[in-house]
Amino acid sequence: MLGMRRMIGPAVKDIIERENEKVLFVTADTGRYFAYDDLLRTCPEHVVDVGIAEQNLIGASAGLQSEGFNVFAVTYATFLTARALEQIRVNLGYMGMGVKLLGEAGGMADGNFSMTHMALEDFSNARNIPNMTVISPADGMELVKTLVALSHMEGPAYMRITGRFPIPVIYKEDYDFQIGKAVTLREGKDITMISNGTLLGEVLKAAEMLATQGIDCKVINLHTVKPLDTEALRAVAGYKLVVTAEEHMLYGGLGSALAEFYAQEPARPRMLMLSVGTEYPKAQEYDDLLKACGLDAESMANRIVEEIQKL
Amino acid sequence: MNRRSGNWGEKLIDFSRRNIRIWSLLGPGGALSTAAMELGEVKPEVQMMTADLNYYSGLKRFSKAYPGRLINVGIAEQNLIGVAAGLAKEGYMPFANTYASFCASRCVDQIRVNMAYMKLPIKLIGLSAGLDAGVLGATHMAVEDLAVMRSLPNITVLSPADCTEIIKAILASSETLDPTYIRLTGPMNMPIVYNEDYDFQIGKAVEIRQGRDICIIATGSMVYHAVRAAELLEIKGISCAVINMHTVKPLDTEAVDAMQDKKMIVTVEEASIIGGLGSAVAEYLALQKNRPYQIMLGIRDSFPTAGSYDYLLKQCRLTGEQIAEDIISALSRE
Amino acid sequence: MKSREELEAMARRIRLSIAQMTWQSGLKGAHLGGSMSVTDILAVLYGEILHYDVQNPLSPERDRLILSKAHAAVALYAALHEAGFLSKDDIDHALQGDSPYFEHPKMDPTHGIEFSGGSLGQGLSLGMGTALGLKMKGNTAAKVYVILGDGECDEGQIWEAAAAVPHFGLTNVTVIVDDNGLQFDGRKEDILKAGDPAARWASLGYDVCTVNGHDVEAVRAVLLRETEKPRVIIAKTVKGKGVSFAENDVTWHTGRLTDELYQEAIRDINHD
Repeated sequence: MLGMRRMIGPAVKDIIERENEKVLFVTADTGRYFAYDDLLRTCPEHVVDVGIAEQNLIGASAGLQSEGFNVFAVTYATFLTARALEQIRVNLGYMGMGVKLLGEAGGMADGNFSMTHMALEDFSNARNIPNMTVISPADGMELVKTLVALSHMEGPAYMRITGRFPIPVIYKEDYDFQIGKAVTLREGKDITMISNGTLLGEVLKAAEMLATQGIDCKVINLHTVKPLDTEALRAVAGYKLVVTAEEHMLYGGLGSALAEFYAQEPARPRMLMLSVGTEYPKAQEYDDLLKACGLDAESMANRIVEEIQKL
Repeated sequence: MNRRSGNWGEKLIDFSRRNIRIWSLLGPGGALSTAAMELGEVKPEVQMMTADLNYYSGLKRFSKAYPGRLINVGIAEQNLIGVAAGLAKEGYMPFANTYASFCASRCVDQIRVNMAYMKLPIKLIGLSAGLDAGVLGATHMAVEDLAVMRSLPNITVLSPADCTEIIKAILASSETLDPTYIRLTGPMNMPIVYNEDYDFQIGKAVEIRQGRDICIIATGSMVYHAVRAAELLEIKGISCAVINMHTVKPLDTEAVDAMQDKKMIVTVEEASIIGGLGSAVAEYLALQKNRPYQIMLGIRDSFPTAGSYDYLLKQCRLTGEQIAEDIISALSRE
Repeated sequence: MKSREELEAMARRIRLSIAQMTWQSGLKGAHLGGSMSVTDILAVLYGEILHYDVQNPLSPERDRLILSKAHAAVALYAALHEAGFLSKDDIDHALQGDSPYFEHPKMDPTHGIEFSGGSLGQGLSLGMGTALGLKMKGNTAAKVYVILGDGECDEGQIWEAAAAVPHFGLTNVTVIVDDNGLQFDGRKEDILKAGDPAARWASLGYDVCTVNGHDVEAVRAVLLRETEKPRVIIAKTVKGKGVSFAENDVTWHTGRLTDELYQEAIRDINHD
């Protein structure tokens, strides 16, 4: 299974050829990261590279979108959601330009480059922009489905991709994907774990570990962080513990979104929010980073056991 | 202001009732200017900085009194943060200001790298946070600055309730080397919350009003309106506490704990209800057993249309009367 | 003054360290191309030009070097090792495990690393702030050197800072552009034409000159020139210089060195 980013070039080429010929691949000097060579060779008029200039990337994408194209603006997740945040807010949020942002190295995937290349506040930054859809696919199959769905969607969106080659396979068979609709990956009656992106691989493993200790976990893939699938969230409000797991700083991300939602609900489950924490992790290999932040399966399972004992 | 001996700048400012009223009339820009004049006097390492908002930020007087200590980089917010970082590294304490909307979006990568990662002692002041510059439209309304700053590590986030507290917050932040964001909300003629001097400490919320039934946790300009709402609710027989959470990060969790026995907690902010004060309180309460019902009042997930400050407060349902109304409907639902 | 041979030998040792660190990083690889292109410049800077004292690394009079094109970190580490800030052990463990010396430099002034880097386009602002701080303190001894990539000059923030440096009279700033003509997706001129960079910098008020970035004596000569303005030195370089299979090759922006490629790289570097 390829890493997610190297699937994007070929997937976009496919979409251009089969789904939507108005799609453009617009990047800020990171086209090669996304294996765009084939796309560039066969449909060069669908590729625009603005150089190392992320703010211009957004402005140019908005301009193209306003001229009737369907733009995928592609580069590092952190440079989209931090370096070009105002441009995203103004052009996509305020002016409603339906550009689709594809951000690579969401979370800690490029952690050996240090936090400068890790997107750890992107959920927070993207979800407080009005009109923005925020989504993080779990594996290769979901990535392709997301891209196809985005290519037909009107409004602006931010898609974060995560993980390193080889990415875990979450979906072994086809399933019904809809933006905004959470997917239950595992049924369970004791606690619920909610996560998205490739971290679900670790979450599912943690659920298996917990099963051996007699704790039955439901696992939900909340791929769309905005808009939230409120029905799915209400359905698990009765669980004695809802655990969120994200490759994101503690404040403002997935856990925060659920905390905000449940705060105003009649049924308010107790939550445990697993995250990168409140300090930037040191530059390291991705697998070491997951362990250092307690986001590997074993650490998560242990933490959950501890928490259940306190309930 | 007469100079008296004392090793904390604040002691040199007279927090008299008269001065409090003057500062309120001048508004946040005047408060910033007053605090700056004090810092200029007692802290030689302080440099004020701006991105072409010298006049708007009220620092004209400062630049005359302390030549060379106001650095204007022009309309270049990313450079503003980088230059502040270079100065901080060389032993200065830069207080950099620009519109809060630009702090929270135009130079986030620079804030992230220089303040959150390198932890340089930069004090960033967000002017006209919330709806104050609303006549200029959504581009100048900062409603996500609390969310953006909160998710970044190592940044203290202050949101003073009135002009007096703005001065105290700025002076207090000069006593630490923590990277800090101070958001200034409210108009000229900013309503007064503190009629007399009081003890301000970063990280310690202030109980403005006691009450038994519910609690409003407010920040910035909304503290005044929260008090108004509490007074209206009292008349209807609802006893309402009001907490001024001037430090949104680190959140004063003890102050929140003290309110957990209330029927309902209300958070109010002149900011988006996504990611800000309400979110901070919700995140904390989510970890607790039997968390109380919480409603989050603030700017809903949309861009307000351009308009005057008063018009926008009403549009966003942030006046005292509207806050009281929303609380009453929420209580009847719960 | 060092001889040409001494400076070239130092550059050679830096290149060998870069190759070593790239090889030992294993599957991750490193930013080989852009590190090799800036090597001779760093050799001259650390061998001859910069004032620093390893025994007193925070000396206020030290020159500040900011590697804005921070992905050339391994070149910086190798140069810092030559200067005595980093040990052989530091180099031997770089880019592995939890070594503090990884793909982008992390701020550590006691070891000669002034600021953390990685997000392009920000270093000239840091340089400007530093230079301004020095000027305000009346510190006329310390100089500020900022190394940019030519691709990096795509970034808007560079030009915010570029205008500010001369505007604030910061004559203690030297900008060195490692102009290797390539960026990640292709040739600079194919991705985003820069017009006439020398004229652009000059119009803002810099003293601009262009030099062969691999001729150590020529680089030294331009760095020793006294000027009354802040300086820009556009150093024409070759990405991957010194390693034949990587020279002028877009795909070697980052790359992995297998055992075989590492040996080939060592042979190439020693033959130069």
